[in-house]
Amino acid sequence: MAKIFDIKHFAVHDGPGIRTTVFFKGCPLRCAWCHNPEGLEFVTQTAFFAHKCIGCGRCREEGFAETDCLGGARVVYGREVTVGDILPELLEDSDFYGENGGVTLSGGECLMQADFCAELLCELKKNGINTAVDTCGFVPRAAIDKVAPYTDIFLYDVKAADADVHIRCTGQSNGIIIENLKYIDSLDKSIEIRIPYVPGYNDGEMGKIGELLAPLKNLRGVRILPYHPYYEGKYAALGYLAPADIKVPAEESLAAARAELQKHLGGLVL
Amino acid sequence: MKKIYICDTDREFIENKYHDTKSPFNPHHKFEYHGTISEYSEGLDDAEMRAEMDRFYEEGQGRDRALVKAEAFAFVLDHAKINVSAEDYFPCIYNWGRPLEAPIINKWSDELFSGIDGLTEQIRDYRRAGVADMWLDTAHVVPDWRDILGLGFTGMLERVREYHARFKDEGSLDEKQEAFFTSMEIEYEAILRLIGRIIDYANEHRSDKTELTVAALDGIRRRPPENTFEVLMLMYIYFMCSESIDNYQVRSMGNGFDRALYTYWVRDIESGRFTREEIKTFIAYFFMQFSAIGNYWGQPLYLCSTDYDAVTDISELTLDILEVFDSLDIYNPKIQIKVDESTPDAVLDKALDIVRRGKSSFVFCCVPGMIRALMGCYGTTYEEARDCDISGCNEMHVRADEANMISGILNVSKAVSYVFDNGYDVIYDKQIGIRTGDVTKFASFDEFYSAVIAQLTHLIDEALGMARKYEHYVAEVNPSVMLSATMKRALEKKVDAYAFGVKYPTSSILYNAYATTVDSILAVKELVFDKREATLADFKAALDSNWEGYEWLRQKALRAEHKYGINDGEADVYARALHTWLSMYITGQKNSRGGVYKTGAPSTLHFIKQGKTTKATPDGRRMGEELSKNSAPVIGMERRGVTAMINSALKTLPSLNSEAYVLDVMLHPSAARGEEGLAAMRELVKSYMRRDGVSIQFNVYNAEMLRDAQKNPEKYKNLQVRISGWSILWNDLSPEEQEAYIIRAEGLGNG
Repeated sequence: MAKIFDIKHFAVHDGPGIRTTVFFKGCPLRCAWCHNPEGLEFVTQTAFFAHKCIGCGRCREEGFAETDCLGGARVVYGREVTVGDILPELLEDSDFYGENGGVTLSGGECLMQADFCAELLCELKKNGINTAVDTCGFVPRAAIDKVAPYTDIFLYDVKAADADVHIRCTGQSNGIIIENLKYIDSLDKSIEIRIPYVPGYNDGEMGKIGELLAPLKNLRGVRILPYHPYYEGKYAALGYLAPADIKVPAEESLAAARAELQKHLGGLVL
Repeated sequence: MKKIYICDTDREFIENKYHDTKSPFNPHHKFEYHGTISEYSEGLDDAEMRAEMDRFYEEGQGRDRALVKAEAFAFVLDHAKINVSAEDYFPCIYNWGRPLEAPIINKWSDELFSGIDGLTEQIRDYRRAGVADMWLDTAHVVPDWRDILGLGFTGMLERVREYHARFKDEGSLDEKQEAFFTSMEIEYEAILRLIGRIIDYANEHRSDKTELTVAALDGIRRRPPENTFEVLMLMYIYFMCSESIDNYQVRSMGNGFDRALYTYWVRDIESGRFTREEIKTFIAYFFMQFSAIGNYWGQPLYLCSTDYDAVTDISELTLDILEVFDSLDIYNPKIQIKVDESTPDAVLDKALDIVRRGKSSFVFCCVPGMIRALMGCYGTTYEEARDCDISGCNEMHVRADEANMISGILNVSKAVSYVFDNGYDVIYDKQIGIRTGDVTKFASFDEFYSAVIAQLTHLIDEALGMARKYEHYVAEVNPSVMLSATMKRALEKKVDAYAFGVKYPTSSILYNAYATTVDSILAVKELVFDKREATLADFKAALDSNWEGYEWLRQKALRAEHKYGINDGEADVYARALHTWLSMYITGQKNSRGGVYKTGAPSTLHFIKQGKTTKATPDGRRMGEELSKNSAPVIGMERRGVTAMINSALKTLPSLNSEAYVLDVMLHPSAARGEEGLAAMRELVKSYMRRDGVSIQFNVYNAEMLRDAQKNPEKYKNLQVRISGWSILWNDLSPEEQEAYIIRAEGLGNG
């Protein structure tokens, strides 16, 4: 049994090809710019999207369940599922996966529910599906050991090379994350690095991240993910305060970041 | 950096060749315009030409109409003003505004319809009630380009004369057949005289380009074309004469534009006659003619990537053609790509890349699905199906041996409305459906579903009944003289191609509002009979009041569990059932031209037009709102994304439609971005093709961009959206039509 908050079809930016992505509840980090706030907590949450409320009043009635909300303003994030519950849906799109596409486990942090992930990935491999694990890396090594045999590619987030910067960005140091990254590399597993690029937080880190990644032997690519603000509605709906004062990076600064990474990683920068 | 294949001066000249771009232009009335060319040869102006055409009509009463038409056609070509200019390789015919249409063809049409008791009234009722649009269609046919190019105008004329002489010698020609052959001789002789006149004019107005123009015209006046430029010139002359004067649209240029050019292209390059770059330039000038003519439906042509043997890779030329099209930044011609396993990724990627940059003039037509449709629905051979023409938006017809009429577009959601109103059309205030009883007394879903099928049966029977009354007169209303000469079977059978002169004289019914109908049936099943959260009386009251006082029920209907387009098991069972029933009920029924009916799902702009006169439907739609478009789900209901939508569509068996089937895929720009986005689009096309899909087309934009385009039209002069199989400039849509697209784009957040 695991707790997930969404399954997204036709995901084209969560690994190679056309993919279906499963989003798991709960994350050990608290990134200042998190664009999936509904994945932070492990507990099930109900969000209220005020602009969708049609004033039907059903939520004031006895026995109301969120699914009764006629306007769809109340959204429940979190449902418990078994592998058998979701496997058919993940196989629905197998005709679209082609040579490269498949299923990605994401979150939140999917490896906080590593036993389930291993079971699910194993079933997917039995069905010939390409698998990807999207992780922040702040997980016990045992979690990696559980899923690695059934994982074709790790999509690995690197937010900063400097420990202090990482703490400011995420609330945690990056020691475990860097060790786990090296460990996955030692297992000869394909790795795609994903670097959220957030002005004011980690925009000075690109050179150091490049140095950190250069020795890895199984890198398949390094992708910069520019900060975007298209999540603020979810913060309000969940009763959170949205991050303040983060600016969308300018094209020139993105180009400079890419150039900085390319000094160390050349054509691996996607 | 894009290459430029046409200089600004020449481009501006051609853009103004058929209408003045500085003046208001309505593409729906494109034949009413002239360009800004100041000097023409001697010839008649429009008023003088009109007077002559009136004379042909008056003097032609009682005579064979093919002969009357041919003589009028020849008169126009002999007396039209013409021009050849230093800025263009292709000549101009001043009187290109369908001079025969109003004074002759339309009058013959009026005579036909008014001569059949009650027909005009019933067609009017069905159109005004938004049930069906019925018309006499001759716009979906492609001539046999292989014979045209192989024989040339002279060879075509010679072939007609040979058949004519042989049958005459045998004494086997009656008066009608004699007129049939004579009319073709008159028209092709006139075409050759027109070419001669253009040459004479060009010789008196020499410029850098006229040498090549004259050489090509002189070549095709004497023999079949021998090089790429001559092929383009012949295509242009054929197109202008047929589409503009003979009143028969030419719904593709070549049986595969790349195939038609390929042999000549190879020969020209190998012999040094032309370089590859020079040929690209000719193609640029050729394409610009169609952009300037400005058919609102787009001038179609299709690309195959392989030669006529379906094996030899010709994609070098295909890519050249796409490069030229891309460089021109135009949306007309519109291009269909025939896709099968042999289609190179480079061709798909090039076309998809153009699409994702907002130029959506492409349809991807899947050969395996088309083969299944044509062989399965009306028994074509494998070769006929594999080699079929894309004739129009995404219609598929047997090359050189099918003359098709789209007889009408039927709004199938009316069947649901009529079940709720016992067959009475409450908007049009007339009994149009049959009396299926008081819906509120239906005790089971089976009773409801059977009533829907009964209403549909009635509407289809009535529509086919109307079509059968007029369709067999088509060759009398508009004899297909130029076209018939290209169809060998018509010559052998001594009869017009649109009468019985082809192997497959087919007719088609397109059905509109398919998803609206499916979702309406499902909403009633789920909420009334499965969950018992409402009654049929609730629904009737809600629909009668346009949901006034029943918002609770409308919201339940909108949020119903089972919807078409979300890969839902139960919904797709009903979607498939309705689709199969519609296709199988219509397909194979006899038309009155000796052929059969087939079906298509494109809704053209009728999803808006017929929606205006359709009352509220049980799926939550309000009165007057648009209906579902083509084979796509109801707007906003694609809530599980594009793959779920395609999965649902494929389960309905698209290849049951042998006229046309097109699935609209709307993608947010972020999903189409970068190499991954392009690869994903390619995989969607291939997967759809491998799983029996027929045609698929993309719109890549988001709601914010469209809102901006609505406010700032000047910033989006080249933005196109797909309608049915054609693209239209965003700025040419009415605000209401633009809104329909914005609502669709707003639903993209779910996918």
